[in-house]
Amino acid sequence: MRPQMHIPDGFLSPQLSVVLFLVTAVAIGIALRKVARAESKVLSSQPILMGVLGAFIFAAQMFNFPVAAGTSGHLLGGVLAGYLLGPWAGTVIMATVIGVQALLFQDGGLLALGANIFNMGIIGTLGGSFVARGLGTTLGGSRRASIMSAGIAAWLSVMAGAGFCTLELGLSGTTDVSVGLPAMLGVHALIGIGEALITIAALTFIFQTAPDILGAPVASNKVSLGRRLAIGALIAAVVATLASLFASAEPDGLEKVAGQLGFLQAGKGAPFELFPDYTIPGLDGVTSTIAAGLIGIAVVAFVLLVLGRVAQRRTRS
Amino acid sequence: MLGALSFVVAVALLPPGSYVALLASWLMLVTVAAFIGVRPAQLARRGFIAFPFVVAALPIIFLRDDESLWSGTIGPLTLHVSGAGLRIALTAIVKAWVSVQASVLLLEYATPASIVVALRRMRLPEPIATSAGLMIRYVEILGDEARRMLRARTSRSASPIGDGRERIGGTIGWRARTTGNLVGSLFLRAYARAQRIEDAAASRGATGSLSVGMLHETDPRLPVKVLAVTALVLLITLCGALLPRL
Amino acid sequence: MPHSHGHDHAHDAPLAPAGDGTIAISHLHFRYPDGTEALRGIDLSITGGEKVALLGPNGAGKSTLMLHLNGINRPTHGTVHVAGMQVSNETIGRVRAEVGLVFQDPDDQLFSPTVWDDVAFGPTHMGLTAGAIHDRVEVALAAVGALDLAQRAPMRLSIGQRKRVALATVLAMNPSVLVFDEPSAGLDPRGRRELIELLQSLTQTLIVSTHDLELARATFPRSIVVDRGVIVADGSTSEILANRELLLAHGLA
Repeated sequence: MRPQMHIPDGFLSPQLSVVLFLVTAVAIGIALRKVARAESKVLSSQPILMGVLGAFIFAAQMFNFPVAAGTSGHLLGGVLAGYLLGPWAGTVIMATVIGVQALLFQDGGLLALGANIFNMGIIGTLGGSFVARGLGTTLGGSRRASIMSAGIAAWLSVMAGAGFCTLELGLSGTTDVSVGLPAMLGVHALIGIGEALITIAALTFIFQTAPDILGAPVASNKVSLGRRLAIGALIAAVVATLASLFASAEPDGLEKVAGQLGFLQAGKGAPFELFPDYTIPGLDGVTSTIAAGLIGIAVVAFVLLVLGRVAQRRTRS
Repeated sequence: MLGALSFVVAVALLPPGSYVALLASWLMLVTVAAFIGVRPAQLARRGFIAFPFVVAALPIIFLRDDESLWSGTIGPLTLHVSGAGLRIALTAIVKAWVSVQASVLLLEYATPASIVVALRRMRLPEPIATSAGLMIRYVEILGDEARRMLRARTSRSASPIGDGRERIGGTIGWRARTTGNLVGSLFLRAYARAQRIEDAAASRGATGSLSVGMLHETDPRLPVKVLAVTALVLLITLCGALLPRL
Repeated sequence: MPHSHGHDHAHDAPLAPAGDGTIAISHLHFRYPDGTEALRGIDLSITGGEKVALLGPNGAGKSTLMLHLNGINRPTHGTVHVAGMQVSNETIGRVRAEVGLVFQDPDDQLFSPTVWDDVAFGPTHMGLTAGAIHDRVEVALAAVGALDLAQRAPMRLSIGQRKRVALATVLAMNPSVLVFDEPSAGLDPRGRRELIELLQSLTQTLIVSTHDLELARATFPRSIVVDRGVIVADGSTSEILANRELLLAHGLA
């Protein structure tokens, strides 16, 4: 199964879509500026190269291998793109690919484009690339470590993307998080393995055949033990949060969650609603865990991004 | 192009349950389509692309607690079908179906090149517009390469010894590795191709900003179009507010 | 070839192909999903070990026809029999081992880090033991004269070398029929000469689609001319090539 995360139109509340659009636009803007300024780090980042490699990602998503009983593993390519081109250029390319898929192939809605790019491009590619960098550094900085980290990051990126996708659907009231989340995460845990394996194999191949393209692994042995521990702990935190979300969905939480969601969609009000009420009322028991988990992921992701960039800058100097 | 986007937004804003309004919107869409020369049946069929995502909406049918339409036991599970949930899910599905058709219509109406031009005029950043244009151009070529590589791999994928039918061979790790090799090879080919394109472009004196397609002058009928789109959006919203909901 | 390694040959298929190398096609029609009719009634039969050239202008349907021989395309009407088996979902696994397709662009076929890995792909997928795989790869590489290239990366080889390796990847599966798509395209005169020598050394049934009339004359006693989805001529190569009218009428000269 292909990492199925392109949300069509009509499933997300318009307000949420707009918010995500804005966030994405800002992020892409930053990415573009970084790309324009970047010294030719790993690969040069001119439009021609990006365009052709975007087409490559497109085409690469067609490759598959049979897993079992009619299913097959596919590639999304976010972390791969980030590894090969650098996080910012990779993100720009993935965003363009997702955009083209939406516009020309109706793979994902127009209004939902912001959300889709956010899930697969920002979280998946940008976040994934930083996780890969961070992990590679933590594990020692050798080429092998960095490739393995890319694989793990690829798995995480699929999971995180699927997670955020479900959360957005939940916030829009289109799905029930306590069932949707474990289902999505469970399915994508398997899909993610395919992504990880293919990413590792592709990078290994490229390294064996044309190592000059990859440049030196971005890592330094001078990273202090303290930072390594910090990064490792962060990654553990992310994984733990995902796992706890997975495990915490129980039927009891249903009543509360339903009640909560009822606020969002019960409106028979005017089409132009004001910003819906996202406050979290006093929940107890399981749902508070879920809510905390949501906030937790967001915070962790943000911190990872920031820390990743800090680590990168420190390494470069 | 903005028309398509506004249409989608308007549809998305319709509250759940406004099936009639959705039907009306679809009829409007189809009318526009007919003007452009696209048959409604074709359009409707392509709307079904969105359907795999139906699965995401299904849980809510069963998990809301209000307006219980039906309760029953299937095996060890007790299920309630919730009216509110059903309404939400159905609305989402129909919205998706209609929106996809809007986007398909856009495609029928405008060539990819003109879409890129339109995006550029919406002040999409230059690098993205250029690379998007190139991407569209090369997706087919690289896609063909990918397909040929897959075909070559299939040709050498004979079944394990002693079996006639097509069966999976090798271990999962090995298969993943060969798939990764395919990806890696394609990447190197794409990279080499990109270099060749760069060289060709440089030798023709390009400065790095490729323009794809001519720049159209401002569309003289633009004000009329904007008016039409606005009217459409208002109409849809009105339908949503006034027409009965189920 | 001396088997001096003491590998376990218990599951070793004999190094001679299992099938008899015959092709029998009857009333073959093929239509693409978008409706274009590519093949409009093909009947042909080829005996084991025959060397046949497939001639015809671009778009005649030669490639489409070749893709039927290993089951990538399936007939809309008619039947295709390979080495005595009818090509179907039940037999497709064996068909792929019986018919080896060498595509026009070797880069489409070579995707592993080393030549050895690429040649080993086919046998590995077939589930052979490590020993059998090793033997097959050696034999195949030796047959095309590329044993010394075994540890090189395919991407770094010349086009002539890559074409030979591509052939080896197919030979390693022990087919009784070999099908080539434009094998001489892109080769310089020396490369062509080597290709002709190589083709002449092969004992399997050979079917080669080509625009290179000299290649056809030198290597293939029988020619089949295809145009617009039907066979317009089937007979001795020297006669066909001497028939100037025929050549002109079908875009061959």
